[in-house]
Amino acid sequence: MNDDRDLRDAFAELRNAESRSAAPFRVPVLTRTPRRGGLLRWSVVAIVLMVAFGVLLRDETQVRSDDTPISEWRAPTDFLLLTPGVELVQTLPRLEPQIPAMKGDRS
Amino acid sequence: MKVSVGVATMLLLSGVALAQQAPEEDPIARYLYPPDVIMAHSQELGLQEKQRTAIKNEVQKAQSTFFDLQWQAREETEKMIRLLQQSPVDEAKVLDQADRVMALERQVKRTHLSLLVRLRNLMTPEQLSRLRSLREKR
Repeated sequence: MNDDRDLRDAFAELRNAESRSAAPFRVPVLTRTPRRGGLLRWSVVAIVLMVAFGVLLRDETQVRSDDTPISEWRAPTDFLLLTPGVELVQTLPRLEPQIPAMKGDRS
Repeated sequence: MKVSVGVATMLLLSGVALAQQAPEEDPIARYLYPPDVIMAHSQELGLQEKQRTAIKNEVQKAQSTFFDLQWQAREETEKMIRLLQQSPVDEAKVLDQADRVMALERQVKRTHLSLLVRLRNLMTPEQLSRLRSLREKR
């Protein structure tokens, strides 16, 4: 009987020591709740990364556009040769006789 | 979860759209507005009578210069064509003639740029921002 009590006491002591270091039951319950928050947080991080990726891609395109091959180079002031009313100098008015079409005339 | 995936897709698409925006065609022309564009949107821009008159005067002045210069340029170009039709081609003469043509082109560009800068300076900041948005819409 005495041995049994000793044994029980020893086990109780062990249980007490174990329960002091063990995490309470509430902790796993609490950690489940922020999982949604964690997912949301990761979504936000992913979104920010995607937008940053887009901005970086745009900067890259702009850098490449400045770096056009020499065969595609256009004089930056060429548009200044297209002056308002330039077509007046480039073409002469064509005066064609206005003959009304006759009946039976297929042309 | 579904909402965040939706938002992420939307933002991803907008990010890609941002990346695909074509760069402006002309690095100088993008800051200037031709007189016909300004006059075509005179109501939307709320042009004042004083501005209309000033624009008209500037355009008229520039156009008479353009006409003279372009007429001369055509004549000089024809001379150059005749030189190029000879065989063998006299390189020195062709280059001299090209210098004459290019000098006239330079004067045309200079007059045009001066006109566009003056027109831009006649616009108020609000009118300029309206012109910018009109150009972006096109």
